[in-house]
Amino acid sequence: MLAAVLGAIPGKLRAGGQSVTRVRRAYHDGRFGQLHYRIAGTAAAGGPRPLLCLHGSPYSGRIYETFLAVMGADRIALATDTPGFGDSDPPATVPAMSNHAAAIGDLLDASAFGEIDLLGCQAGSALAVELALQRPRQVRRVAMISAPLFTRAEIDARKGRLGPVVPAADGSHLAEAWRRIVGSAMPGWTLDHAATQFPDVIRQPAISWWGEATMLDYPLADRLPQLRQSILLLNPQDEWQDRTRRARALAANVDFRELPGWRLGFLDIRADELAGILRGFLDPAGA
Amino acid sequence: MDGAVVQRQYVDSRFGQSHLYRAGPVRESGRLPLVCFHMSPHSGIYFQDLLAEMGADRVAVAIDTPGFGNSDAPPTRPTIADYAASMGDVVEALGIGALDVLGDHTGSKVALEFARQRPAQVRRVILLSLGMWTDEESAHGAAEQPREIHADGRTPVLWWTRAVRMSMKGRSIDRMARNFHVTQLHHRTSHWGHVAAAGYPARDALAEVDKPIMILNPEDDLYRITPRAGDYLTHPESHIRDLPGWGPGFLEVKTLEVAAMIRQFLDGIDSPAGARRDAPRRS
Repeated sequence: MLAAVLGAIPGKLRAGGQSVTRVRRAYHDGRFGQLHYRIAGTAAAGGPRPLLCLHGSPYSGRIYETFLAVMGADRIALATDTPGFGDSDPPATVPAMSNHAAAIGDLLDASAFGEIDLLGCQAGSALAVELALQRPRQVRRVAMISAPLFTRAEIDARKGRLGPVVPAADGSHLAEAWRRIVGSAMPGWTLDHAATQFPDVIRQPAISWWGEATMLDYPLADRLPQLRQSILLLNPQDEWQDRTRRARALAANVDFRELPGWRLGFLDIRADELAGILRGFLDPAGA
Repeated sequence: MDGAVVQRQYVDSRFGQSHLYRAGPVRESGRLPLVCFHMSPHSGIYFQDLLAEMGADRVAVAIDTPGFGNSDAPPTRPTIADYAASMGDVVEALGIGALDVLGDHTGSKVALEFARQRPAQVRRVILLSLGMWTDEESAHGAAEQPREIHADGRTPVLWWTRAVRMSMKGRSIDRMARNFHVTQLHHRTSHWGHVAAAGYPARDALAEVDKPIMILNPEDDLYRITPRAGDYLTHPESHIRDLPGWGPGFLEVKTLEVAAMIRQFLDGIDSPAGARRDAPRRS
């Protein structure tokens, strides 16, 4: 199936001196309906393992589009839309993280991939942990951008605020969503970048809170120490910074790196640098 | 009649990947597929309710125009002829032969041009509003520029409040919010649809397309513009149907009524009587 999706990808393009590949989109019929994903790159015998990227909420795999084009230069790089986000159908009720991981596992099974690596971001980091635990033989290395490790008090406080976005006739719900994005952005991430991601933040207002509900219910503090794979934990300088530092001590096999000055937008404007960090972790010399 | 399940898929076309929504009956119905083209800036998602209804007794498809929804954009600003040719690629990729087409606003011009380009393939044409502008009126759309993005987020708020203000009675805010995001996609190039529509010679196309054409005329921004088409309809079955009181959102609010009108026109199946506004007139 993926061969058919990838088959029409033309050769490598050049953009700003960096070798990049075209990103294509496709659907997979899964347990919750259609699962949408983006994919770039080509598989080479003996080459690097495919990299599956998992987004935070309420975004979609679109957040990885620039990064996939860069990583696809030497491997298959793909990013799913978590069920209920982007163009993926939602489950019938608020899912557990294990449900999300199983749904994405359906795509992996259909792809006939062998071993893979994972990259998660925020809620996607928790999903990466769960997917790696469900598939210990298939998942070789796990990279996480921020870890959603909340205290009990933080969980209670955030759950108290959870609920559907109520659309207002005056558009104030849109202004609030826009301010949240722009207020979290790093220098260099333009309004143009923000406007590209904005549609995914405002869609599905009735259920867009499910992503955070699933994340808050996930026992990351119990699950992360169970991982036997090598872990790279990246810590941008954003609202997740302290939580991510707490997670560092939970597992012995963690390579931890601070990313000072990095905030929302680094997947676009630091894609090359991030790809370099990832390649250093995923493809160590002599491995 | 139970609604059909609407599935999405991608196919390759001349500008890259084209994305579409598709519904169909469990058993072959013998009716021709209905392919729908949306207004701009929007996407095929706008037809989702109609597809679920029409898909009960035929294959019903809505294609995201190149550069809208999930479809790749052309490399440069396209014409309506480019859009229609790309839609032809999609129809061929789906293995569809003879078909009926339906367009809405910009999509009406895509549907007309599609019928002009593929006369042997298109049987009947349905247009939901048609921008029959004078050259002077077209100048406004032809000059449309990319939308400005402001740090305070006023652009999507303006789009939203305008949509709320213009929507017909009965269209809920919650329902609007489900699809509003598609109007915010491709912000750098989403004006291309209006520019292409403004430059399209609909009068010439109407005179050339000798097919039965049904034009529905809801009380929207084109309510007084659309009826000008009556002077250019050539086929004896062509007609304009006035829909006073209906406005933006009528495909969501009046889905069953629209489906009944469509079936009456395409299949000859009787539905609640509606007044035919104009007899066809030859140019």
